[in-house]
Amino acid sequence: MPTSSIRRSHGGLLSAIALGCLLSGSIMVTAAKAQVNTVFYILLENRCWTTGTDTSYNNVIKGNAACPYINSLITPGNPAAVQVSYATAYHNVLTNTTGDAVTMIGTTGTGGFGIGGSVHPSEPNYVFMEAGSNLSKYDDNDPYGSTNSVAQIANFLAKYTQYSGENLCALLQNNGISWKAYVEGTGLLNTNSQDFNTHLGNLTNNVAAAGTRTVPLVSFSGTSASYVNEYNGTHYYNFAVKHTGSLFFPATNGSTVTTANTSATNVEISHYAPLEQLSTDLSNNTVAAYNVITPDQYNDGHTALPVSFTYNGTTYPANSDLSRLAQLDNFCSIVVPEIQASTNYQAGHTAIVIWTDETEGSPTDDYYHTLTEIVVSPYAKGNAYASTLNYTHSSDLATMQELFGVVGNTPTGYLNDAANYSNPTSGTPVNYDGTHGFAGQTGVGQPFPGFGTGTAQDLSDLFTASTIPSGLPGLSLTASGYAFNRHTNVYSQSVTVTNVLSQPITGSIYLVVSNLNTTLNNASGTTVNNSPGSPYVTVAVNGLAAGASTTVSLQFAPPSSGPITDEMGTLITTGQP
Amino acid sequence: MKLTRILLGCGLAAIASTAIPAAQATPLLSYYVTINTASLLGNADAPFSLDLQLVQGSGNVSNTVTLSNFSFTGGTAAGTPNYTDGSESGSLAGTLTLTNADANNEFAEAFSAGVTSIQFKVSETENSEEVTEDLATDDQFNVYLDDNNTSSGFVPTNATDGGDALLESPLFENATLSSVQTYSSQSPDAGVITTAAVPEPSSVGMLAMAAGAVGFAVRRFRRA
Repeated sequence: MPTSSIRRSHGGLLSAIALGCLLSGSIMVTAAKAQVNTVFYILLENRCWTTGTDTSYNNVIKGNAACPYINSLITPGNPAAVQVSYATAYHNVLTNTTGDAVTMIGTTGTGGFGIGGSVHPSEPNYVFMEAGSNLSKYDDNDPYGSTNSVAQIANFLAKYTQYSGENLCALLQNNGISWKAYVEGTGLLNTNSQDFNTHLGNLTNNVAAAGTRTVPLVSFSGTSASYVNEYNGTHYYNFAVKHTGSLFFPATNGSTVTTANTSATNVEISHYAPLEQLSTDLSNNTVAAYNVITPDQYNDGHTALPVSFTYNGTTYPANSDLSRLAQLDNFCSIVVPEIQASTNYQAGHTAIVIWTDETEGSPTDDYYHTLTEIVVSPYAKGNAYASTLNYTHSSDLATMQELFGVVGNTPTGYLNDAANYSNPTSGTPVNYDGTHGFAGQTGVGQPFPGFGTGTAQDLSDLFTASTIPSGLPGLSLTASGYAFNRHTNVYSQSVTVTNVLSQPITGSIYLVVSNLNTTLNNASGTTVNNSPGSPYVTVAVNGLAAGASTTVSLQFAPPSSGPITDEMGTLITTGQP
Repeated sequence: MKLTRILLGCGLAAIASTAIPAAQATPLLSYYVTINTASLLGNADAPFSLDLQLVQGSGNVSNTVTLSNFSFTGGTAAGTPNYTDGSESGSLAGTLTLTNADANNEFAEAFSAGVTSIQFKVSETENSEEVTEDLATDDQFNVYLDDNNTSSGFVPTNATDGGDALLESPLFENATLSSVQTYSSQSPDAGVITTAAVPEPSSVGMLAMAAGAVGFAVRRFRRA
């Protein structure tokens, strides 16, 4: 096999697998359409989407007059809803009854994952968004200092090796995929023109120059007459480290396990930007492929402003519950359209996800307390399509891994709980049913097993078909150039398929050649269930061992004119290709 | 089976690939090819032909393969091609040029029965197909021996694509000698034909000079 094929590896775009599909059914992973190459996550706080019969908590987002913008997004027929889909059953990540991390993964747990409580407070949910696990976090501590969350996570990982310590943003940057966190309130100067992150003082709206900024690793809040929030118009600021998950991983905060690096030379600083930079980056089309937007604790709905807030003609009292809703809705009503107006969005390549970290209320953790999960994209199913499938933060993580084709060092490539099956049954309370259960419980009272052998329900139901790749790139595909035999009038090409996962692929593997401008002479058959009508050749009937490769030869008839053009994809199935 | 000599080529690949004129934008790869045809002596299938081919990939870039310094040890080439296709110019007596203007660009010429070894120099431009187009297939330079008495029309080889080439060289940026795949044949008549691609002598000289310079520097360092 020519070594050039290494360069020409099609693994990222052309082939992928999902182990769940290997075990039951099939998966056809064709060339990604690259429809969505840019994602924005807008991270909101605490407010429930619905609460069922919980009368202790009435101010949910859905249907609330304090949230006119978000509700316009989910109203079929509303112009704002044209490119919107949303989830009706997005749940808080669940845990055992005690909420104790060690018990959760240890050998003495009695609550059963998904039977008892759920992951709270905020920070573990943001860690979960990155890693597919709260990694023992059950508090809101800053990453460094006397209550060192980063060290706590490191200690946990050292003890419980069934967990992966990788995080999404690290996978992205290791694969050369850009990511950026726009964190409101950070990256600004004080009135002495110093970096406010490290010097504090009196905050201003002046953005620190690139090269002088620091990674924000310490929370701060207050008021400054020299600062006016761009969204709510007040002088209040409130930055919390706990609301940006990448700040809890040394690989993406540029620090060590024990020591914060708050110098301007932190190698990760390019990934952190003040929210004030978002408009410029959108205008210049210099946003990252994966972007998280962390509003401050007023604009994300976490904290009510201590002054009255007027929004959409209504004035909400200071410190009122409804003001929290109005604040986050106001924020979304500005940021979402701003992103929609960007060149990349207009070109059809952007997806915006409005996400919330955790539920509130009592009982907080039942099936009917749900969270906001709204997708705004030209490739959303649109017109406020409502997906009734069960989702959690693991769904977002699995989706981002699939969309960007980044594989973790786990048996399936998915990180921690993103590798555990979700309960696929719509409208059904989640209980262990013998096969499924949130976060991979294997039975009532049994411990969470770390990363699993399946795939969490991804967000593909919110998008048009084929927008989200159906699995991770578990197979790399490398192809030679063509040799032409003028005597037999046949073009030949060799293609090597390699299992790049750390576990065997057990389903039959096929190479599907679609959009071909000629005939594949040695086709094993024509696909029926996947990319129907495309010729395929059998690569490995019994799958491939971890790391194993096999090479197949393709024999083409000459095209009527010009060179051969085609698209190759791998198919893994136990049934009819 | 791949020849062991190509492994030597791998070790020298960096030298070969860096033989790029400083002011030239298009990357180049130059190497020599040796085909041991001794096993064909007396074979009833003679005459055989040397078949040189540049097949267009799926992209839209220009590439040229320049072939020169042909030598036919123990015999001669016929003097005129017995087959041409696509965009080719020149001859085995001087320089032969294949460009990827057509889907297939090919030149074949017979050689006399006494030839025991064929050698020539290959200079390839290495323009990749659209780099951002992951689906693109590279242009590829291929070498065969024609044999009208086999089912494929070529002397059969162990080429992995089943196309019976003795040599396949995909053209792409950063190509090195290790990218050039050579194959062998155990037919016709159980005779073994081997193929090798090696750096051009100037590259070997450069390597030797570089090694000498390093050694000299080390000696000076130790003395200091």
